[in-house]
Amino acid sequence: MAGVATSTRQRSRIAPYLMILPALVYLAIFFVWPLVALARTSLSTMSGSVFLPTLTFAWDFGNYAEAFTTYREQILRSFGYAATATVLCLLLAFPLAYVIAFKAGRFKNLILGLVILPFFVTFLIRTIAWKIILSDDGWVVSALGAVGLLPSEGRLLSTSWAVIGGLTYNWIIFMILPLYVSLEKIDPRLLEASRDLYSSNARSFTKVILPLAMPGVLAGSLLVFIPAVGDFINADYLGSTQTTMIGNVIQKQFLVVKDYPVASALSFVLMSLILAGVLLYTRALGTEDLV
Amino acid sequence: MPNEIDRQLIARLAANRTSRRRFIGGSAAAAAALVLGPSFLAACGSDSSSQDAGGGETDESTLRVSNWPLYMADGFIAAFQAATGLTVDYKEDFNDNEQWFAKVKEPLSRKHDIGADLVIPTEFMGARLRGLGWLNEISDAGVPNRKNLRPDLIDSPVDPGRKYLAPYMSGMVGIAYNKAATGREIRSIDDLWDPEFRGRVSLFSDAQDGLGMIMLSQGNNPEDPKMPAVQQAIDLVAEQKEKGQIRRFTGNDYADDLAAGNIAIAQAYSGDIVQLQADNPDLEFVVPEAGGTSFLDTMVIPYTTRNQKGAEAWINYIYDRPNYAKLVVYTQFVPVLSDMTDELAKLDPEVANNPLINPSQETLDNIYTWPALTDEQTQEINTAYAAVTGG
Amino acid sequence: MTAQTAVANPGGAAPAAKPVRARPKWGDLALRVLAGLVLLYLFLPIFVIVLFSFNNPSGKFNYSWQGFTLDNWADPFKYPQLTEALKLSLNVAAVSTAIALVLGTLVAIALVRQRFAGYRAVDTFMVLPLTAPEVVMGASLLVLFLDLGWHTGYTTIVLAHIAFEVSFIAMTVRARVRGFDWTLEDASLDLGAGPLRTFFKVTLPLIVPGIVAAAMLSFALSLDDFIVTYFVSGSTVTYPLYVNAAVKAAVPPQINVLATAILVVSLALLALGTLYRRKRIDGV
Repeated sequence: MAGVATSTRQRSRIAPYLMILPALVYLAIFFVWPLVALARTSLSTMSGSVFLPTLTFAWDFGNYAEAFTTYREQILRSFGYAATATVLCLLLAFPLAYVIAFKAGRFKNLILGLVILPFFVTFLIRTIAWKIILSDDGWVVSALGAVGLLPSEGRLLSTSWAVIGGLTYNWIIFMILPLYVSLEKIDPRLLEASRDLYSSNARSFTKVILPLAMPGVLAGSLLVFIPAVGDFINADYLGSTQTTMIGNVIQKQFLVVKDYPVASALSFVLMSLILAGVLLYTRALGTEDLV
Repeated sequence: MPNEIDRQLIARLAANRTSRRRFIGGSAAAAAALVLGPSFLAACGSDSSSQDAGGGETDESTLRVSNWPLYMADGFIAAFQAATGLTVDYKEDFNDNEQWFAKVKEPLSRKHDIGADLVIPTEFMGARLRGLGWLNEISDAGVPNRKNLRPDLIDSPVDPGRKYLAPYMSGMVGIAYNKAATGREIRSIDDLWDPEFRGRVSLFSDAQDGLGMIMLSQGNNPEDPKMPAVQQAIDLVAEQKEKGQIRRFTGNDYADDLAAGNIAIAQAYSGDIVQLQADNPDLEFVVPEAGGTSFLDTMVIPYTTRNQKGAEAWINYIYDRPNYAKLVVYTQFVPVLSDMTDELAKLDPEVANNPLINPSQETLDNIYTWPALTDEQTQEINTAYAAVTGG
Repeated sequence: MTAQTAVANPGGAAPAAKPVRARPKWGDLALRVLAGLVLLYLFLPIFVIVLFSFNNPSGKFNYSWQGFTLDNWADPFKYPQLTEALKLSLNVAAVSTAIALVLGTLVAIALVRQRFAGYRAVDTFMVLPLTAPEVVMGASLLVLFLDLGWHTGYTTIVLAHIAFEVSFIAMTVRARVRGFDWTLEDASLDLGAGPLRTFFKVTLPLIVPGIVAAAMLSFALSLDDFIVTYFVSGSTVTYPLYVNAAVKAAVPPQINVLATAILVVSLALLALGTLYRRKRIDGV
């Protein structure tokens, strides 16, 4: 198929290493090094004064066991919310990305710019606006209530759906843009050919468009799902006492309870689980590559 | 020291990025910044690491103040600068006590400057800093206006002799309710648990502010906080949470929900409600029948300060009644100075007569204050409560 | 279909004849309506924000509609700290995005163009920064900067932002670079262009949409970042830091005014860009 030809040319063996070097060095300093310090903390025991504890590195895996068992509910909940939000993002983003890529013509860049514009306003201001729109006695909630579409609490705010809605809204551009970038690359003549070949739009979609858009779907899903799992701020503002996510737990452990080993262990548990999930997902999508 | 990258570089980088040629130019410039950066940074680094804590550098002409946002009257700083000749670098970057502590803990423990000569944390945080030995004493000579303080604040169990924590602004911690949402007057903590308000009640996530009034309603007194008593309050909260009575645990962010009526009854700070009432007359604030607690924000001087004299001059200026009145009228919290009625009346009679800003002695008698807790006590209480609020 | 009407016509220009089968228009229309609804969803809170910039609250909070006024717009820079914080955030976002773009794009291209030893490891490694919870990363970075003896402020904020932006950029550019026709590069090299020239004149221009998209995402990420910035910022105040702190005490309409102003200016720039393009195409 045109467009995916790989090079058969003998390429410089050093080139890729040179290209990844800057990023790797940068991340080695500003990501790996702090992460190693975090790992040490997670395996340490705390003693001494409460606010200036001494951490003794002790290969204490107990923190991990505690992290995993005590907060299993929040971990599962976070994965659930993030997965739902990712699916919603995909469903909402696809039509928009598709239209921008193929039907927008000269307005392509304008609409792309429009899409990103809401994010120049900080998260908090956007959330306050949403809370005004979705307030308990606002017209949105009343309308949904009349149709019987409200969650069990009888309101939209401070429910799990509000948190999922917040995650979806705040991460959706990370689905729209990669999808667009991937779709825009598809040769429109391919689309025409596929429409001629297949009897319905649906098949043309599943057999031609979707496979070609897969890199975008993959990138978008990861860029939404991964940060969403660790998110805490949506649950803070839009959630209730029953919607605590693992991000909130880590925040509390770190800032209020100040149990640094547990907070660090929890962070690593979270990171490993996400990584495992991501590896499974990419395999399921039929690709071996992550990035 | 200029802590900024060359302006031209920024301009070029920010310019039209969709043009290939421009992009190349931009990336070359960026690469240059990356190469130059570290050497530039090393220069910065060596500078600050050679700094010493208070005792080393002093800067008598500038005062750096770190305060909560919008906790300062218009024109106040300008007037202070004119009166003292100091230049004030006023930063509104104090956001949340624990978050701030997590940020400054490392620098302060290493005696690194934290960018402020005077900070205004809440009293418990100030007490913690004092316990860690990170504060400078506020000299009597530097603050003669100290005598203007309210009699109940002149001394403090948390800070004997008021040597380290200078009160800035106080307030009452009680309950606020939306009359339109509740349909009736609210008087006591028991109203919080009324099934009629299921899912429309919010409590504080901070242990002291949240539990104080609940303990009082159970017949215990936070002024003598034994763990079983505290635990009793925590258990009640846990029980109500399981029932779905509590919608959220909040910090200061209950205001929009309360104004909208999403929350019918909230644990609240008096000053916030005064502000909200301006636009929403349905809101009321009461000190619960069994009693409420108070909060106090205090001015402290970190031991890494570079202008001890300037900081003391600031405190002294604030303790002058006419000056302080301006602050009270703007922030609308409860003043820490005594006999403010006259000065307040001069600026705004409504403020002088507002019981939430200028409470009667009767109200004040029903307000209690947490004592100085040991680090272990604080930790125990915080951890126990965090388990309920969702940590 | 005969060879003459086949779509991929190697001989010359695309055929002028339209496809024979008539497409049901409603499918197309439904798609556009759907896209429009999603766009509306994105802008719903924005309408509220713009509206409330004209609100006239008597108190310090801007939560309920009181009445229309133009006063806020007459005095948009009433809170100098707010304006300064905004300018700083825009600056940080621009600078960090520019640097992170270079780092991330190189990685994306390297990972797709050829399989090299250790490729899998690098691949997995690039995902890691996305998974780390912000609060612990922020705190760990702070300790790192302190250990190095660096003063926290503008520079450390930029450095921290680049750290989390690189992975986002790499993944976005990757979505574009996948399926790239590498034989184009071969052709260029065969024609005598050196590898660098090929890179800049053939490869890069074709992946520019991916780079632009990545830049936009990175910019948005940086503008909105709160907790990592909080830890490494020292006493420097960025826009989210200011707003997050301020909202606890008050929500002055000036926040809405400045936000609306940014939106309007950006919108104007976008519209101008579109018009300019049209002119160029028409004028050619």
